[in-house]
Amino acid sequence: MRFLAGRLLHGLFLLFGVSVLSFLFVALAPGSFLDEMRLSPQISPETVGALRAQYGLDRPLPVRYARWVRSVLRGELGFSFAYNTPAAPLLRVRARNTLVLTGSATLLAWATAIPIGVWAAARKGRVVDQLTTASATALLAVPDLLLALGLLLLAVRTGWFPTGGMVSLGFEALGFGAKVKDAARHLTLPVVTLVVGTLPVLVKHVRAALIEVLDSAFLRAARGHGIPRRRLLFRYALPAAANPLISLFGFSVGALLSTSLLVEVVMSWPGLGPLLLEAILARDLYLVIGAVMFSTVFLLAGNLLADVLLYANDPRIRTGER
Amino acid sequence: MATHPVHFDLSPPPLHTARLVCSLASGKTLFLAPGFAEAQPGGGCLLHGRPPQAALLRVRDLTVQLATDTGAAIPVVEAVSFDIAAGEAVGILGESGCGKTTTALALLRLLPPGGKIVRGSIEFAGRELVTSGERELEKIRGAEISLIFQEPGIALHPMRRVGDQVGEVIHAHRGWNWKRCREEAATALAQVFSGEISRISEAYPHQLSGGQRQRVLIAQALACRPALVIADEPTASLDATTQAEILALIKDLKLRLGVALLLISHNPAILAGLADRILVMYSGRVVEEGPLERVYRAPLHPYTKGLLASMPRGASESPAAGKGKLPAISGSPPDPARLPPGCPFEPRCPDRLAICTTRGPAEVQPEAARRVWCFKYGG
Repeated sequence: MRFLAGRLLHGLFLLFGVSVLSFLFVALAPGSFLDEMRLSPQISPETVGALRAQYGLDRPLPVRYARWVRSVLRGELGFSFAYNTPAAPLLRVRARNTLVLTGSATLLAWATAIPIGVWAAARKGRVVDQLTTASATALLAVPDLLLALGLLLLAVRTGWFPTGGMVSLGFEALGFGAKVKDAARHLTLPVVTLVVGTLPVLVKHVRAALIEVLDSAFLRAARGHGIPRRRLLFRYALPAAANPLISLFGFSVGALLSTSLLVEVVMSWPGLGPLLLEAILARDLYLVIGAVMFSTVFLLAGNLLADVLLYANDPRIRTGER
Repeated sequence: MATHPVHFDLSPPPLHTARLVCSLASGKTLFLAPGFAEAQPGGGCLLHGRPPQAALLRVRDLTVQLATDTGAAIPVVEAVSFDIAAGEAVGILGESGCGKTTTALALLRLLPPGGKIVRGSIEFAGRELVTSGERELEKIRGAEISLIFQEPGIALHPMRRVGDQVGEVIHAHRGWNWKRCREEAATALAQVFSGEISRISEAYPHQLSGGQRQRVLIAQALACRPALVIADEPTASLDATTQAEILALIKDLKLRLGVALLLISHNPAILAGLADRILVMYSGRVVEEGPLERVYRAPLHPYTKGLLASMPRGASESPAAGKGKLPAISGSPPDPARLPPGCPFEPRCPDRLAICTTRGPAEVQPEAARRVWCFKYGG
């Protein structure tokens, strides 16, 4: 419990740091939401100035930051200039969609990578292992963007999968089963893109971690006790190899998240990605900061989950000894 | 049977490894186990009146190669033959790097990658292990032949409770449900620990001392009541007091359970109280074999003499011990990749003869139940 509390505190501190930095960077970026209005002949400079005062953009940075923190505490997360509403409701829907995409991609990627990696490690040096390693390296070289575009092309040519959005028109009218099916069909393309993009890295790490453990004395001893091979691999080797993999799990959430933002834009998935892009282009600064904050929360949650898993997996961490 | 003319067909020496074929006048052929008949100096054969006790483990001409990092094969065990009877304790004595551990691992077909049995036979309770498949071996390992590993610090899974780890061995062989396996594991642990079984059972390896871990390894090895236990340097990493405790425990278990033991050590003193018979190995070969007491009292091979002389004893027995200095065998074992052409011990041997550099010595039986490979005794 103390371990968890420490981790949470650490996370809060990090969130604070990220918010300060994103405020700074957004403030340093040239231009503002009002620039386009200023260029428009229909809007008088007085109106622009009034808006500027209304949004508090004339105040110094620390004051703006303090106001933003207050609005965060109220649950509003600042104000979107473009949508003219508090940022939180906008962000929440988008964040949920991103979570659905990243979450299922993370699960699927690991659920695929572990058996493949274990399998390759158990056959180290043989043809299947060499083929796995070679194809992982080849996949690693394919840029995510190219992968996404290729899959889109495939979807367009074959019509097997919808090429964008999260649900079909008339989704609300569908029954529960049909709803799940429709959502899954929409989810397939972006998830496959993310999984294929991450899989090579994960497989390589799982394989390497397993190979190291398979060489260890306690595994040889277990083999000497006649423990069957499958049990040896999954009940002995995998838990022992898990520590670095669990840490990698935390990182993989971050990596998947950033790739996901890109894939969302390409495949028009209504997540944080397209919103963030739009907000950046419009200099809708609180929306930008909000999207960054949500991404950070996801990243932290992934790492926190990794810490909890690490704690659960390794008794040496639990008992605080070596 | 004795009235029929009997013809013995002896394969080339070493006799012990040869299969004695006895062709009867009736046209039947009998295969005789070694020990049933003995070669006589004149060339004839002496038949023993009774068939010998069938060996539990019968190793013949075992030859093992390991691979170097570059993939080159190096001979590590060369033509090793020995028997272990049910309930018998056999010790293998030799310096590090003489092939003791490799022999032990080869018996269970647990050689590291690149290692292979080039020739020979390992017969256990009537089954040939050299040609057995991995599935068959899994059933034998831990259940019929088990290993007590050296280095208890690293031979246990670092993240699992020791009770579970003993339970896993039982689970692998008995097919019981997990609860029953855990109960049986507690019974196995109770054989090697006095009291506090539940606390030990729930502990992780890092929470136990070296001696406690070694006891867990012993419990693991005995959990399925094997017929043969191989203990590879069971006390090498323990302090002297714990070492004595563990040796006493092994001795006690041997007496109580009647399990056959193959004990491996570089230290003659460790084998002294435990083994009935010893094999002395040098450079992958058995150089001397015999009942422990007789070998220790009157060693034949110069290498055995050297090893025993370097063992600390009471001051009365060894004059050197009184001066605080023990005699040592000069030099070190030869690189197995570059063995001398003759006897491998020749470069370090104080008693070398001219013939020693030309070829390796053959087996000699200077007295009953003893074998030695040295030209001093014929060879």
